[in-house]
Amino acid sequence: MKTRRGLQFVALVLAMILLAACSKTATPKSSGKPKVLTVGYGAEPGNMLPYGSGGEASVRANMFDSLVRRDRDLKLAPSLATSWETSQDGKTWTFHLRKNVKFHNGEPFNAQAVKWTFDTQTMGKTSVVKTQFTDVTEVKVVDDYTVQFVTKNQFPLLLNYLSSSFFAMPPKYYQEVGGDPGFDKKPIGTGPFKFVEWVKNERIVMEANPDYFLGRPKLDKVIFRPIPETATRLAELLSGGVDVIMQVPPEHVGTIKNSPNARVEMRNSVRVVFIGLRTDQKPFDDVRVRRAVNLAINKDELMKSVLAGQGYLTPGPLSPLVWGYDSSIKGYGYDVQQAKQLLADAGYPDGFSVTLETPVGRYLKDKEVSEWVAGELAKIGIKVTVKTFEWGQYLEKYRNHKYDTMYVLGWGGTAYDADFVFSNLFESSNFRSYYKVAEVDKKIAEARNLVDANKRLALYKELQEKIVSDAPWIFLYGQIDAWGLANRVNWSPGLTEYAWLWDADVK
Amino acid sequence: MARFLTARLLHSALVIVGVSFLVFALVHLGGDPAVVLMPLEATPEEVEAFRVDNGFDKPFLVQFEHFAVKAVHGDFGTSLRHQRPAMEVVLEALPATARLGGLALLMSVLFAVPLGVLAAVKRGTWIDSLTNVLGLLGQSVPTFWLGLVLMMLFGVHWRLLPVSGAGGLKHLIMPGITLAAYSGALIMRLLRSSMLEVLTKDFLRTARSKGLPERTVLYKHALRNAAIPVVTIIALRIGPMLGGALITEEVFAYPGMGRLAMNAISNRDVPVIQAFVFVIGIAIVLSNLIVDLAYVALDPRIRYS
Repeated sequence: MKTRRGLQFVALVLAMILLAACSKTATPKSSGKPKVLTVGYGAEPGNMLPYGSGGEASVRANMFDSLVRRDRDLKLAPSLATSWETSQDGKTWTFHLRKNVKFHNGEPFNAQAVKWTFDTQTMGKTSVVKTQFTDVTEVKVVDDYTVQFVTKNQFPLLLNYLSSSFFAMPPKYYQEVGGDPGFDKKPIGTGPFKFVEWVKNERIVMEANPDYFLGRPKLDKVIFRPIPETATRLAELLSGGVDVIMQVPPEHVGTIKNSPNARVEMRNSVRVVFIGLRTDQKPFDDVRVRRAVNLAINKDELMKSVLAGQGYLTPGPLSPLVWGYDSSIKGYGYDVQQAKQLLADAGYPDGFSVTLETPVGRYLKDKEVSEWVAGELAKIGIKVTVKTFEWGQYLEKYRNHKYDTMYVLGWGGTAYDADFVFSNLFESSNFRSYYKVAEVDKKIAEARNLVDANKRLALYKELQEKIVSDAPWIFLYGQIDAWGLANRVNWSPGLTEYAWLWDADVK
Repeated sequence: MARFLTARLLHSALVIVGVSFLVFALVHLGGDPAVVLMPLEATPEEVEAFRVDNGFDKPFLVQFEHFAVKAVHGDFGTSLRHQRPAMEVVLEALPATARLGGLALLMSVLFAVPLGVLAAVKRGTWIDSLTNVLGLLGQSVPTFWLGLVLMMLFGVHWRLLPVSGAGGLKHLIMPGITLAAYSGALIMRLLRSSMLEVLTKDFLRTARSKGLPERTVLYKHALRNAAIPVVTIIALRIGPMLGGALITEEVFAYPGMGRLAMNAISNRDVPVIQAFVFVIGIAIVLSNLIVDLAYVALDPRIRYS
């Protein structure tokens, strides 16, 4: 990790020197040539199987469709289903499918394809998403263009999970090519782009699907290039080798902004970064201590100086991008005096010593954030030792839930629903939780199985108030992702954190 | 000769088995693959199911035996991330790495041999000092720094070469130089000192005194005698060129084995790591064998029996 940061620093310095010396502009492309857009991203997918581990959201999204999709503002929009409704008891969802849709190989898309995909792929042996759908008992074909999902109890997250984790696949083709190995070589979906070739570790090429149901994409070709080093991605963008780069680190933002050929666009990410506290042991078993550490951190300053503006305030456990977020929730301000007072009241007038465990390189500036928090807590007498871990090692701690006292974690996901945060991080039956409160458990379980949106919202409001007040975390911030775009690109990324390029164009 | 070869090959096989075992042990010490491969939101039951499916729940020695028995049959298991045979994944990346490594080795030899000889002949002059500085730089400049400087100059500033990726010969130039720098410097310095030693030998005086032209003296008599340690080093560099092109491949987003291995390590993709080590092991063993044979060609006094 050290080399990587050294690398970025060197690249930044070099880029600044060189850019100052050079003011070339990109050569204009003549019209009539095929419109090609190249995306540079971090790690290439392990495979092209929509349900296997090691997939890549941007690659998948351009080849496959779901029944419903997230639009650029994260609203649920029709996709392969044009409309849907729930039954009186809330346990049957009926989807009306789009007619005349064909898979890239010409195979018709219909209700049978949905049922087959769900039964054999989404819930298949190697599927990594099947637990999202354990509440679904059956998928029924009503007629060619109507399909029903029957759930064992009310399951409000069905649409969320369908939009993020269901991808229609062609049953006949899949069997013809002999299942996963054949499908991995030439994946077929209904999406705006068709698979052309995959040169391993080099590029994935797709071409426009002229029959796409929303209309033909404006681009003729899309190329995805895996480029692991952020400094190299930057150099590619500046030299015109790629048009779109993802996950631009804060230190490269200025370089791109100063370039005559490229621009930066910032998007709030759903990923919330927080510091978990071991509420089951001293000293964080005392709520006064937990509130004190929340009050001791100047978050505005943290976001400004450590994250260089790539963070936004999250008062409680939820990002405002998540359904169920309540805007009336008041978080902890910055008040060192009150923090000291609370510590004294709790019997720690002189503070104490703890450790803070953090991964390195997983979240934006994770190590620097941890060190900064340690510095803030020192001001109220708490001595924090920061321990850093490579992500794989850190995951073992996470899985076994064996943190010392304080730990850094980010939580995002693609469900965009409060349940995904509460069920996973605050329900006491969950392995990730040190926080165990019966009243909270009851409300989480109740909200999970309720399709009535207003009742759910009310429950989530209460949960947010309770959790902010109990402060089992130090609430920090939501991440802001930076995208680098060449000026020739006529497109701007949505909030979905992947590049869906149907509406993209290049000059 | 045949007996020597058989013995060497048997010995090599043992080395590869030993290395495989060590790597297997190290990878397992490194942590649980299930932990890294499963998504954050996976339940403990899913993680356990994954472990059982892939046999990670079995005792270490049982897992090794399983691996070894299959490996003998050429089956290195299925990559956890690619869902394809691990050896296939590795071998796919081998040609790209071999191209880059081969070119880099060639570049380093082309750079090192003339300069090494020149430095020895012109000992103590400014040419010697200059090559000395070049050698020092080549060996001490960090690979990623050199790579990025080249990239920024030739790729971004002058736009003469593609910044990264693979495709034609153009794509190989910058990573080739980056990878060749260390080896080139190493070989050059070694050749210089080896030449200096040979140049004082009596047989060279004899060669000169019988009226041979200086070029023949240097390149036929001196270089050939100075070449033995150099050939050893060149051959020893084959392994690092294949397996150690890691940083160069990362920086230049080059689709080779080093990058694949790096990815496999951070994803705990055990079968791919095993297959990679096996391939590298074979390459190193083979290159060592070639050196031993090259000695015979270079020095008629060496005989194996």
